[in-house]
Amino acid sequence: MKARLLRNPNKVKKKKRLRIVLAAVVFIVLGMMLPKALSFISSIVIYPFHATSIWLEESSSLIPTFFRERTALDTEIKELENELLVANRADLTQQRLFEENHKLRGLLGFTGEERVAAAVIARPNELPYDLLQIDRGSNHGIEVGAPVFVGKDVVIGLVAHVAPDYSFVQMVTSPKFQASAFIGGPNVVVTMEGVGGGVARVRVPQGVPLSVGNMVYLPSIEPGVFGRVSYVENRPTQPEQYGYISPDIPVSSLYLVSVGRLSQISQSVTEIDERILELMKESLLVKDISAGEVSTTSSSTISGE
Amino acid sequence: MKVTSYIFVYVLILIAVLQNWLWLAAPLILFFSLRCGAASLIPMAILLDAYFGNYYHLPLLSLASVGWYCLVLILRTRMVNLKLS
Repeated sequence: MKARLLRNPNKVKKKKRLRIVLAAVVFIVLGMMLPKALSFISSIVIYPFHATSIWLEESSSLIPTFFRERTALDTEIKELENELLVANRADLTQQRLFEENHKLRGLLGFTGEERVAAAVIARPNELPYDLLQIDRGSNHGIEVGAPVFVGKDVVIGLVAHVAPDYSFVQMVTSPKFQASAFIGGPNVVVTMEGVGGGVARVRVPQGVPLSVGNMVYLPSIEPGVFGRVSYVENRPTQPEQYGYISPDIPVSSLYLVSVGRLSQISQSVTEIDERILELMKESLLVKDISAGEVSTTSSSTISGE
Repeated sequence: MKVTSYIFVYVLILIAVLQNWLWLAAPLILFFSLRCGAASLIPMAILLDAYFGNYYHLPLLSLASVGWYCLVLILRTRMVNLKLS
């Protein structure tokens, strides 16, 4: 027997391996027939490792905290690196577009608009509603109705009142202030109305794909970037959806603004026609004429007397 | 010392699988299988399947461990043949 085994060591090994495979398969089949029993045995055997695993995941001791925080920091670093890459590319594209825009303006003979820099000397809540007071007035070339910008192209309002040394700016977000706006993304023209508190709102029919982050422009002002949609109110039971817009720079942190020229506000042909019609209607109206009172008597006769 | 280190690797494989550290578990499993054979990984796979409740459906890990055992046998035989030749 021993001699036979010595002569066939490979056969012995093969038998051993076959036994292992068969035993494993039988055990697996038994396990499938009695899953609860096997789960119970497994929970007892694996308990120390389970406890270690829970300790690593939830303990506030030094080593688990170190591992967890390191993993979280690694993930955050990767996400931030990706965002930075995307932002750099967007910045490059923006730079290219700016240069192209500048070249095209140069070709058309546009030398650049004049602006007056002004500091904000009063803001909400020092002033009522959405008003700003700036330290430039008519002595510095400020005109009523001129657009007011933050940065290069973000418009925040119009000059509402001009004094020699200061002016008041009514922000686009003033309650009931209305302006035509163009929303990039869904590419629709809507009426934007101020809500107050530095927030404006647009009303858009259901079905228009309005989403947070859509750029909002005021096309009647050149250039007229206003802000982004920061919140969308969309109830399926309502026929309209609302997009709330706030400028990227909060009102409370406004310090320097620039005031443009009235010429930067373009008026459509329709508006000009309407204004001419109004003027023509008023040309025959003479004000401050008081005619003597004409007494009127009324008499009535009763028929059939 | 060798036995202790192999036991340590065995326990490390179990912890790595429980923690979903597959980047650690995969090379350790390969190392352990080539050094000590994959037979001892079959009970671990059965226990893990039972722990995760896979015996109520299909215990893929247990079946995969049996397959892995057969594959490692073939690989080890070929490696031995290569060494001899």
